[in-house]
Parts: sequence; C-alpha cells; structure tokens
Amino acid sequence: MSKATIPTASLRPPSDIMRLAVLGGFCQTRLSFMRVLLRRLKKEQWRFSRPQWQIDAAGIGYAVYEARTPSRVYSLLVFSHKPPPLRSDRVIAEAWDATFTLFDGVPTADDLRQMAAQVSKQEAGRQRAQQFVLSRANRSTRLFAYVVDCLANGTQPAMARLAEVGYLMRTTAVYGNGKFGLADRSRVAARPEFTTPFQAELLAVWLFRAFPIDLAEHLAATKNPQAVKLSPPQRRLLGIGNSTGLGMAPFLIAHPALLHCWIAARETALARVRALPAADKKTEFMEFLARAQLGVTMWQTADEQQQRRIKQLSADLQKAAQQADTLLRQKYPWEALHQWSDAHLHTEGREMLVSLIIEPHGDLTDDLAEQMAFDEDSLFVLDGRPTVAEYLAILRRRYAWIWREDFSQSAANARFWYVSEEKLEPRLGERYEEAGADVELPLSVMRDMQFFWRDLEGAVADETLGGFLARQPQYRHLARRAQTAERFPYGEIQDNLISAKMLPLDLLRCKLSFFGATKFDPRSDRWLRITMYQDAPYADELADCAADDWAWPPLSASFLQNAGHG
Amino acid sequence: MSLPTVLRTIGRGRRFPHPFCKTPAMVNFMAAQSLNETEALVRKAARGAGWAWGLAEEWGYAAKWLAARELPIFLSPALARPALSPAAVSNPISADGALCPLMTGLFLMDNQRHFHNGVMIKNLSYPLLSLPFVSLLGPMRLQWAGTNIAVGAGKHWLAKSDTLTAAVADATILPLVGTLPADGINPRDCGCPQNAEEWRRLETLAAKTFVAATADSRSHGAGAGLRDDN
Repeated sequence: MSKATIPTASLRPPSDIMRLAVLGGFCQTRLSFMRVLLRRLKKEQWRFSRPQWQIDAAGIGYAVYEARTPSRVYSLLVFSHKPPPLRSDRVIAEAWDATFTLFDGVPTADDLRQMAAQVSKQEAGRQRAQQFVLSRANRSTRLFAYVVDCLANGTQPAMARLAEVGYLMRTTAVYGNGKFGLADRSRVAARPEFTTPFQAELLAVWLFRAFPIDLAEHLAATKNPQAVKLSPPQRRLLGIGNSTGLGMAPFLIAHPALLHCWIAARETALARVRALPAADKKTEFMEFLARAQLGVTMWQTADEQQQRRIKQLSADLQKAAQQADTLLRQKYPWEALHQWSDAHLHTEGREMLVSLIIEPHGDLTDDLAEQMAFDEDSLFVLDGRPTVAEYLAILRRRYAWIWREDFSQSAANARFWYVSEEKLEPRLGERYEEAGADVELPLSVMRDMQFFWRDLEGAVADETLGGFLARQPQYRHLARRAQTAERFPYGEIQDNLISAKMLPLDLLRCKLSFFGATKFDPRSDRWLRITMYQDAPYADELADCAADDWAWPPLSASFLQNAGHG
Repeated sequence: MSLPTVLRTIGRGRRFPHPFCKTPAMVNFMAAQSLNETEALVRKAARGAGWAWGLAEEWGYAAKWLAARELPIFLSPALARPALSPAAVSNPISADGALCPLMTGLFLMDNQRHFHNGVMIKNLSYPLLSLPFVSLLGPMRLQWAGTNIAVGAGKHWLAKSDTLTAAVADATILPLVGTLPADGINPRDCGCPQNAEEWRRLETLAAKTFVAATADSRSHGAGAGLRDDN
C-alpha cells in the first residue's frame, strides 16, 4: 500500500503534545533509533567479528570490533586503561576505564598508534574525519568486580543483581557530528545506514556493549584458567549504562525541524493504528502490555518523584489491562483504547500506551523511520520578502501559546542557559544569583518571541521582513524559527524553558526516548542514568534471533519482578 | 603494533588541558577543523564580538559555507567592524563608510528582485565574506581587483587569486549567462585546515561567551555530584 493511501486518524495537535510534562513522559517506541538500527543490521545481514584483542592480564590494552555491511567495514577501537582512582561521570572528568571510537574502515598499525594517543585524551585530543564517533566509559563498581569473581569461581552471577544494575560499564558522553575533529554529519549521513539520526553513535554503543563482557571474562580467566564465560541469559540482562546531563538539553530547542520530524513520525504511527477498524493484533498487544507491566516492576530509581510516577504508571497499566479486552472489541478499537487512556490515565501511562499500541503494528509503521532525518541546512536561509503583516499572521497561528507566561514575574525569568568556560557544555544558571546572563544562550523562545511579536505590531504592516530585520537584527533567529514553524508545527516546545520550575529532565527524557533508552533513573532535576540495549541481542546472536523484540522484558523473566526492591 | 608500545602510548587515559580553556591554545593544524566546529566557533566568536545571536548564526553559516569550499575564513577583522548596511536599493550600492559583507549579503538577498541583472558595490569590506549570500541569488559572478569567483548550481569556480582576503574593495556582481562550465568545484563534506592565528583570534572572541565556573555553578549548574562511583 503506498504511503499516500494509508488511512490515518487526525494527529494529536502540537498544543497537546508539545508540553514539557508530556515530552518528559515519553518512552521508547518501534521508531526509536536503537531499534531502527538493529532491524537494519539484521535485515542487511551485517557480519561482526573481533579481529584484535590485545588486553593484558591487568586489563590494559586495546581491542578492535568489526562490523561489515554489504558494502563497507566499520571498526570500533576500544582502549582499556588502568582503572582511575576517582571515577566521575561529569564531563569535567579526566580519566576513564575505557575510551573508544568508531572508525571508517579497517585501521592500519599507524592509525591505531595515532588514535590510541588522541582517543584516550577525549575532548582534549584531535580526532580525524575517518572517525565517526568518540566516547568513553567507566565500570560499575557495584557490579564489575562481583561478576569477575563469580566467573573466576566457575559460577554465574545472580540474575537479580545483573537486572538491578543493568550494565557493567556506562558511557558518560557520546560525541559525533564533527566535534573535536570527528567526521561531520554531512559525511556520516551520506551513508544510507547512517541517514536516520544518531545511527553511528548508537552503533558504536552497541558494538561497545560486548567489550565489558569480554573484559570481565578475560580478567576472570586471568585469575583462574578454569573460569567460565557469562551465559547468554545473564549476558542479555546487561546493556550499556549512560549518564546524561544538560549537555544534550539544548538540542531539542536548537533543532526544531528535526524535533518536528521525530514527533510527527511517532504521532503518524499512532494515527495509522488508530484508523484501523479492527484489532487483528489484540493478542500481541495484550502480551506486550503484560511485558511492559513486568518491565515497570523492574524499573529502579532512588528518585522519590520518579518512584511515585512509576507506582502511578503501574496502577495505570493495570487499569489498561483490565479495560483493554472490552475496548478492543469496539469498532476502531485502537482509537477507543487511546481515547480511554487520554481520559483515565496519567501522562506517562498514556504515552506508554501509545508505544504499546504501535508496538504490534510494525509493518504498518516502521517505514516512518525514514521520515525522521532532515537536512536542516536547507532551512537556514531566511526569506526576507514576506511583509510584517504576514509574519504577524504566522505568529498568531503558531505562537499564540507564548502569552500564557508573564515575563515581568521573576519566577518566569528565573533561569538562563549558558555555556560553561570549563568544559564548553551547556549549563542552567539562576539569573538572580549568578553572573553570566549577559551571554545567555538564545533558548528562551517563549520570552523572546513576545518581544518580536510586540515589535512587529509596532512596525508598518507592509514593510518587508528584510527591512524590519535590517533595523532590528536581534530578531533574525526568531524570524527563522517562525519561518520553520509554519512547515514544522511540532518543532516548538510550548513551555517556558527559563522558568523557576522548569525541569530540564523532561528535555533529556524526551530525546533519550527517541534514542531507545530505558530505565530512566533521575539523579537530580537535570541529570539521569539510563540503560541502553538491555535485553537486546548481541552480534553473535543477531542472525539467529529476533532483532527487535527486546524493548520489553520477556514474560519468562517474571522471576526478576521486583528484583532489588526492599 | 606491539603491546608495550600501545601501553606506553595509552598510559592512563588522561585528559590534557582543553585547547579552548588554557593558553596558549595548541590546536593541531595537521588535522582539519570540522564544519561543525568551524560554524560553532565563528557563531560564538561573533557573539563575543558583540553581534546579536541571530546575526552570529549568519556569520557561522557563512564560515561553514566557505570552509566546505576550502575558501579562507578571514573573519575576525570583519567581526570587529561596524555592521554597516547599504543605505538604499541603488546601483552602485554604497553607504557612509565601508559596507559590512554580512549586512550587504543579507540586503542583497532581501532585495534580490532588484538585483537580477547584477550590481556594483562600492567600498565592500572583506568582500569574500559576502559570497555565501551572493550564491543565493542564483548563478552569479563576484569580482573585485585580482579576484573573480563564480557560483552556481551548488558549485564554484575560482581563478587564481592573491586578493581573496582583501580588506576592502569595490566589487561587482554579474549574473552568469549560458551553460555553466563543467569544471566547477563541489563543496566537501568536511572542513579544512584553518589559519592558526585566525583560529586563535576567533577562540579569544568566543571565550567571551563562556561563563567561568564557580564552586556553586559546578555543583548545581550541570547536576551530577562531583563523585560518582557506583
């Protein structure tokens, strides 16, 4: 069926979806980038190997993991270091257990030597345009030594402990897109396998996932030649952890067209399923719902607010499980279920149900992943020919929401975004307590659009925008945003991003849900731990098992319910 | 590669002082700066030089455009000059002083219906920097004493020139007529090595947009505790 003829319900409006509280309640879906990646790897029958393992008895050295597509090779170079005395996940850290890079091709000995020096320096090194991704990882001190000891003693580590932590190592920053000399996105995105956003970064993480396992097995064997390897069910429970902070927060605001494409793909997927007249996939849905409920019981966090949300989510999913059978017997059953969830569930429950409604309908929705990439450079040029009146009409159509906030109130204006000198990373400052607001980043769209709107109202209606901006050039970036908003209505987050009560966590969770991360574990209002690829297949399994059935734990894992609680 | 060699090289995975934060910045110019780095640095440098963010973005765009075509980014002097726009639509275009290449470029775009047949510009400072915007008018030739560049269909043609980074010139823009020559240069998907001195000047300007850390801002600005060992 061609895309143009797929029946689609009307999409949920931006005014409903583009709110921080909703975006912060998103969870992964079939369209999440990790899942898109693994489906491709399996479909194209990529081949994986580990051509180099040069790690000594102390765990120091390097390894190369290779991924062969039908037409090219990528190599993940991993450098394993002496464990640093003080681990920190902060971007200001200076030493890590492992550093790694995704290299375009097969590295020569010279390449390896050169990259060994530069990759281990991370932000302070110079990387090359043949490197697509740069990252680093630290061991989980809770788990790593325990796993090595078990394997050295010939036993498997307890599943419950593995499930509770979810990773042996966690990354603390994953760089791409030209940073520090890496390949620019224009080079990366020209590869069909990397057109969907963040595929290169997520491939690097997936390949790296094998390393902590290999290292733990290696160290165990060094202790005791009779050591065992981690068995497949144990291995599956281990993903790669990640600490995400404000570094990624401005992205959604700085890339409105891209954000629109991601949201529109997700909403369109939902709308296609809602338009179905019958619930052919009811059985599959009920099983996914049960698996999601199990997954929620395994969702650990120390954050009290998140614990409350998880309890609420659990209760919501239980309600959904009770109602689903009846609702799915109606005509347009998925629409009925969705509308019911909108009326009866909290935001996080409703959005998880969105994911579950889409889940069994891959053949109807997976093609939408192709619509999630967009060349934003094509939008940069501002057309100065429309008149002031025409621009005001755009603002009235797309930005009426900005008047919800009164920026003369100090709470509305309480924060400011800036770049830290120390690590060139975004930070959120308190305007009335800290210096630096004079170099505030232009992320306060709601407030700044108010000024733009007022000054447009004060200008002559048939003056061109170009003429207006020549007199008031400080509005150029806002005019660009408005120009974009006409075509990309899901591009603006319709909330005040500098208010006293704004939760940066909502921005992070939204972006991470599009990555495919799970187990959101907030550590403050502006950073969190997540797990990537937990329950996903490894390279040596991919050919023989489902590539994309790992977003929810299998029902057979029910013995892990409440693992680690109490 | 022998393991002892690797181990000596890797050491502890230590981080060295960041090139932007400590002086002197010892950036390695054997490796090129990426397009992303170039755009980001110039945007911040323009802001640091006092340009509004909306115009700083335009400077970043221009720098990226030039870098993708291996054309020199000699920007810091232009950033220090006044943002002088053309006074009116006319031929030749002029103002009371040397015209800013960015403001002139934007002016040409916004009034392009008047300039389909080309235009002369008197006293244009750093004329090369207006090229990214001239290219949006369609197939055009931009020339000034000693330099002749044509742009069209995404490519460019450049005869040998030693006045590419001229500080000021009278410039002419003429539409290209007929079929474009086949030997145009396509933009690259990567950046190119930049002049070390100019890069340092841009870094110095960009540093004005960074906020120095304090113990307070370190502990709550980004969120995570300083020690994170589990």
